[in-house]
Amino acid sequence: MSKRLLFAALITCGGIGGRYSAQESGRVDFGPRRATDPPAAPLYLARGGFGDRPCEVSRRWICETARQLTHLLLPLVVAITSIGSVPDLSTLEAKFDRIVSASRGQVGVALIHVESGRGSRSMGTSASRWRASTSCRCARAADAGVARAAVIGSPDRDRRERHPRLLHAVATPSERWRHAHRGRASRADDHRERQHGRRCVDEGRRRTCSGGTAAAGARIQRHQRESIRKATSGWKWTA
Amino acid sequence: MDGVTDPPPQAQWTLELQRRLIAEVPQAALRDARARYTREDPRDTATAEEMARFLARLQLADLLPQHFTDFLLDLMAHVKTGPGRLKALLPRDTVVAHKTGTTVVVTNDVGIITLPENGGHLALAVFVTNGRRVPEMQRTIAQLAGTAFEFFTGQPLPRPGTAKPAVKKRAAPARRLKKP
Repeated sequence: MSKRLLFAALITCGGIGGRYSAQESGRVDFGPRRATDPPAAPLYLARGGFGDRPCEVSRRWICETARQLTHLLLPLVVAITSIGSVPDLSTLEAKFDRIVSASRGQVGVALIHVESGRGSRSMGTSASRWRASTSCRCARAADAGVARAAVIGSPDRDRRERHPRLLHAVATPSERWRHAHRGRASRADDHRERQHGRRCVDEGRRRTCSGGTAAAGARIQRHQRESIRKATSGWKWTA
Repeated sequence: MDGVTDPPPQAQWTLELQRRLIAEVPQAALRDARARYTREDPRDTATAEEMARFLARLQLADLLPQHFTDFLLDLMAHVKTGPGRLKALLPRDTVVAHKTGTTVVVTNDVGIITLPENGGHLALAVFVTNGRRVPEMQRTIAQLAGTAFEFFTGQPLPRPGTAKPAVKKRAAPARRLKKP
């Protein structure tokens, strides 16, 4: 917007400048022509647009008035047009429609330019997006002093049961070092594998943490599933 | 409908219990339950418009105190999931505070895109359901975000593949000093 305003201002200034320069050149005079006047030379305006065309002497006054009006009004019209020519949202909606129609699924789109409130829109399942609004509500509750800590079962805090990608958040200092230097850690693991000829679950977890193999991930999942089964074997349930 | 008939006391509910329950449900029943959740369960749904309005109000600090707003937006700006969605086609330095949502048949991404040169912010919510494949659904989200970005900035985005790949310089091999 600021660019458009600047552009409009430049055009306006240029237009006004052209008008003054035409007047100051002395070749433009106003008023009806008399018989005693010498024959006038064709007019050329140096700046301001529409000026490089000769005008008939007999129509001089009308032409000059029209030119002056043009010089006055044109920059204003251009300025107003350029200020008002914020891109039309219908073009954006047309582009959105093209993308949405090319997609095979059901698509819901909504767009709002926050500062101006302009936007376009076209229901869907929330999946994990509820976390954004829920965290917003939690923060508001905490701010009001009505939130309290939730109790999490001890197995939830056990890092061995955490997802491998969360390892760096709860790991021991040596494991954190391995995560930070995962390239070197991988090489160290490879070296250990070559030495021992096998790879235990913990090593597999580390490799997954550092972008390891799918087989290692599957092994970890099996291990986790077994540990969950053992931890909850006494519970009664039906599915 | 199957369900848990004799659950342990609520104080003993853990993520592991949930994982175990999910692991023990037959695949067909799980698929049906997910289909019910996606198509019929109205509890976890929203319209794209309302979600965009929510994001816009969040950005304007209309929902939370400023420090919580900053905190939440900062968290959302550091989200690692969904690199192929809203952020995929945008310039690398564009700040996108977003939250993804994913199930078997749903690929969502909603976020606030910060426009360059003080161009303001865009609150964009895109929900894609029952697309053919996940990459295609993600591409739809990326294209919508890229189109909106181009529209409001007036700058064409670089086409994918036209950007010069970063050339990795190989480290010079360490020279061994000759023994005298």
